[in-house]
Amino acid sequence: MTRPLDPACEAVRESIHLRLDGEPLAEEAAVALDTHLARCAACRGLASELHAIHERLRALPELGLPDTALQEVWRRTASARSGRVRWLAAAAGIVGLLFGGLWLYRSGQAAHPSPHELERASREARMVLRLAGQALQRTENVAIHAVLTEEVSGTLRRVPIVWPEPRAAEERSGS
Amino acid sequence: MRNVVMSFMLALGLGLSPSPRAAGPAREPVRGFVDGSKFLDVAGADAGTVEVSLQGALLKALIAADPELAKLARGLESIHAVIVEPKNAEALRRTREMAHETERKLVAEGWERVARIKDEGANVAVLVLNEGQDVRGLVVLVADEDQGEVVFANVAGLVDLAAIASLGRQLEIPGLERMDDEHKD
Repeated sequence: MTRPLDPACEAVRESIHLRLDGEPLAEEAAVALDTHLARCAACRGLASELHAIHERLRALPELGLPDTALQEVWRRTASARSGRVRWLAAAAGIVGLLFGGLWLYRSGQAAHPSPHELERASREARMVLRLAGQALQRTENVAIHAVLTEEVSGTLRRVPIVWPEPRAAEERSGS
Repeated sequence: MRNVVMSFMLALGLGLSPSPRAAGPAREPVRGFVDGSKFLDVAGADAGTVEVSLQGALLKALIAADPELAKLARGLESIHAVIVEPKNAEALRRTREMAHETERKLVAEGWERVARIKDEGANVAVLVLNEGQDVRGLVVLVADEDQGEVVFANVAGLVDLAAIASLGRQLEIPGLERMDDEHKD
């Protein structure tokens, strides 16, 4: 049967361990520890025993871990990863490649359209430009009117004015 | 499990990849560009439609490959047009109203209306966006009541009005050639 520890002994046990570990003790705690050890044989014996163990442990040579052991630990850790994580990593990589590949493919398509695409684009561009040109041509009549009434804006000055054919001019003057 | 993952990857890759339509003018607007795709919405699903959208690499390739066109379009960054032919009167009314609203909005944003031409069958509005001495955008709106169609055309970039106008004298465009020379402003 273990005898209950004396409260005074219990109070200084922590200080014994702290001092062995090299931790600084408050002045009051250090004085209390030294006073207690001076009059308590049990605690003095414990402190002496712990000090001896501590010294023996410090005297042991340090053992280095071989590189192969580290590699083995790394290998086992890596192989222990779940299959799901590896699949997700692979999926992310492949999605990246797929996305990049499609982007490059489509960019290449846009940068190098086929002759058929160019032919169609040419027809469409001409259609839109001619449509715009026809509308601008109609504005010439407005421009003529504006010139005659001295209400020419800066923009209209850039629209080339083609005066009407004589017949049309005659009709206009007659109307 | 592997098939599921592969299907997921494929779907994700295709979903994220940029499509030619997605890379169109709406995503890379240039100064002077006006999106006319809203006309497609108001014209109704059964409307006859024509949409042209040329810009970026395709337009550059076109200009490089076609010297004649290059004279007209060298400075252009976008050529865009929407032609709709609504199938019922209500859709046509909405589309014409959209044309008027577009014209008002552009004027409010600083575009200059250089012409508003009215004749018996069609209304034509021509608007330009000036930047100093340059023209950066041109919009043509045609609401043709006789044909029941609305035409929206927009070119953006460095616009050579004289060159484009000269092209208009070379060939007639269906719909526009019906307008006589008289204008009623």
